[in-house]
Formats: sequence, C-alpha cells, structure tokens
Amino acid sequence: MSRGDPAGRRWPGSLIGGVVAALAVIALVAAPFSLPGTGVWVYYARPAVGPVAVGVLAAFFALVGALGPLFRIWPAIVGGALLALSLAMVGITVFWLTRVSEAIVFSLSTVDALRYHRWALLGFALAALVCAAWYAGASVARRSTAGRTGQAADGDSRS
Amino acid sequence: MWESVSTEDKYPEPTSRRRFVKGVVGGAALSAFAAAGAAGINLTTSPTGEGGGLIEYYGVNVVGGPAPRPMPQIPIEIDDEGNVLGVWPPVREVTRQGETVAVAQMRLGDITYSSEWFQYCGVETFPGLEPTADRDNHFRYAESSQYDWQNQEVSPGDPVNVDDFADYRTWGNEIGQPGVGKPASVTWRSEGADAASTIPVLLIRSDRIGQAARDDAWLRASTREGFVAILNKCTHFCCVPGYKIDPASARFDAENEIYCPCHQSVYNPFTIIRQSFVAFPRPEEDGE
Ligand code: FES
Repeated sequence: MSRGDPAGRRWPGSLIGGVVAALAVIALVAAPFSLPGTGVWVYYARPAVGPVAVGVLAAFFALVGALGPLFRIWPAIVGGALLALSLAMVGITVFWLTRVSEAIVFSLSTVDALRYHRWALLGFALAALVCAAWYAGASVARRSTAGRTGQAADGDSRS
Repeated sequence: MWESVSTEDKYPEPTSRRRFVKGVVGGAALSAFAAAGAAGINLTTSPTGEGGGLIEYYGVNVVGGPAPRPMPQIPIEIDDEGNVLGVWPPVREVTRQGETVAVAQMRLGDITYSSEWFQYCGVETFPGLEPTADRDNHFRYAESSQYDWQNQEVSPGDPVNVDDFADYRTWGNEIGQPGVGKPASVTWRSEGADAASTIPVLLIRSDRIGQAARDDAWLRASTREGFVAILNKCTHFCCVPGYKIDPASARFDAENEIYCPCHQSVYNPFTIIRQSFVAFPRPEEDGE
C-alpha cells in the first residue's frame, strides 16, 4: 500500500461531516426515549416506518463512513453506499414527518423543544446527504483527473 | 477524435463508476433491510395491545392559544355524605390482538367512557390509571394550592365535600368576576403516589354547569350539582393550567377561563365538547 494512495486511510472533511451528521441523527432518534410515558412509541410508529429505521440507517452510515477508509475500501464504493444510505434516511424522514400528527408531539411531555425535533432530524439527514454526495462526487471524479497525469491513483494498487 | 477526448475528460473511469454503482447497490440493500426490520419491530411491539389508539371523549373547549384539543373531563358522582368522587369505570377483560388486557370502561350517556381518556402526557404511566388498581376515587385537596380559600378552610388530603362549596354562587378572588365558579386544585386516585405521578384535577362548581346540565344529556350524566372535573394537563405540552390563578390571564381575555401560563392556551370550563385523539398505550405490566 503506497503512501498517497487515495484508497488508503483518508477521512476528508466531507466524510467527517457526514459521520458527525449521522451521529447527530442517532442522538436525535434516541433522545425522546428518555421521556416519561409511552408516547414516543406512538410518535415513532405512526406511520410504521419512521425514525427507528432512520436511526439504524444513520448507524450504518457512521460505520461505513468511519470504517471504510480504515479497511481501505475504495472511496467510490464508500461514496456510493453513503449516498444510498443518506438518500434513504432523507426519504424515510420526509415520509414520516409529513404524516405524523402534531397533536401527538404536543402530548409527549413538557419539553416544548420537541416541536422542532422532527425538523432537526430532517436537517441532519439532509446534512449527511450533502456530505455523502460531495464525498462520492470527489471520489468518483478523482480517477479521471489522476488518470491524465498517468498515475493510477484509484487503480488496483491494493496489496 | 475530439469527441472521444472530451468524453474521457467528462466522465470518470469505468472502474471507478462501477465501484460507485456497487456501493450504491450495497447501500440500497442495507437501507431496504433496515426499513423492513424497523417496520417489523413496530408491528410486533405495536402499543395498541396495551390499550390506547384513536378514542372519543368529552372535554373543555379550547377558545384561544395553541392547544389542539380539549382537556378531558372526569365524570362525577356524589356519595351519601356529600363527598365528591370521580367515576372510575368497572374493569373488564377485552381481547386485543390475541392478548387479554384489562380496560376500565363503561357506557356513560352517549359515549364509551374509559381510562384511556387520560392516557397522554405521561399520565398513562401513573399508578392511578392502572385499570385494576383498587384505588380511592374521592377527589382530595391537593398539597399545594393557589387558592386562598382552599389553603385556609380545608387541609390537603381531605376529601372534597359539597359543603365546602356552599358559597359557589358568590365566590370570587382578585382575578375576574365573582360568582362565575368556585375552583379547587384536587387529586384523584393518587394516594401514596409521588408528586410526579399524582393525577392533577381541576374541580369547579358553577351555576353555568348546573343550568347547562338541564338540557344536555352528557352533562346530566357527567356532572352533579354544578360540579365539573377536568384532568388538568394542557394538551399543548402538558403544563398544568389554572382557573383564576394567574393575573396575566386577563391580558388574554381569560380571567374567567382556564388559562395555561406556558403558551397562553385558553379553555372554557363551561363549554364541553366531544372530540377524538390518539391515546397513548399503558406500559406493559412488569414481572408478570
Ligand atoms: S399552552 Fe403550551 S403547555 Fe399549555
């Protein structure tokens, strides 16, 4: 494994940003479970697919983003996977938050910041998507630039 | 020639693109797996097995502010000694999704009155809401009250008696007009419960209720001698509102209404309407 191999252990800003956004999504999904009462299940389970799935996807995202470069998986593969995961996160979040009833949010607890909870979730899911797109774009484009200089930067140089 | 050069410039190498597509396919497969798994979890742990879901109830109408729905009413009865009680329906076993669950429910007036009316804002976990719990249904004066009459004339824990409200036609304090209704902060089915799981109830005795009950079947069934009881948990973020306790209520035309200080919701205690809401499930009994 040569130094400077872009398939090596590199975590560019886009990747770090995406992983941080995914961790924020996980924290936001987990937070309402600390409330007293059973309302969080109703909040999350109407409709059937919602934040629990988004949290699992965010965990996959964080794992792939953090461990991909560590195990020297090709950035293009990592980028593609992150893009698909974050698209699904955003899609499910939008599907859920357009259907969840606000009256349920009001009935959860006295923590009135919860009114922003679903929008914050969407915000961080979108941030993960933007970072994933940025990282994927850079990793797919890298080869053609490197290729012109004759360096097989993203080539099959794995040992 | 020009064309092929520009194509090479514009598009990434096939290997890189193939890897990208591989990644996308892998990510999509993981996503489908996660979504299906989460949906499965939601279905198998569906809280409807423990009660809850969409139910109809009667409560005090929202006349201002952000509250989305009425606060639920607690039907009243008065015993031979003049003590005021909240009706707790008889417990029956019902089968829901193959499981036998206990629900306190009865037919009252034109509606099914059940313990599920009160299952929101965490109240669903209070010991007093356990359907089978053999608890005292007397309304009892609350520990801390913002009504001078209550602090001076009765003691916390005393059962509420009709005689305590003899002056209800004239009673007033410095907020709003006198003679609208006499209130008390009381608790229900909460003896021995800690402060955080005590059911807060607002009890008002008013001529307006007494009169309205003459030509309203529901009020005839659920109120007695002008007494109306309301579960005092705001349906907009669960604060405990008050009736004639906050001078600021006058600024929102609420000096004779129930006013929530958190975000200025106003409920009219004398207009009872029927509505539906999604009740939360009761937590599963542990250790059984
Ligand atoms: S108005 Fe928001 S908690 Fe009552």
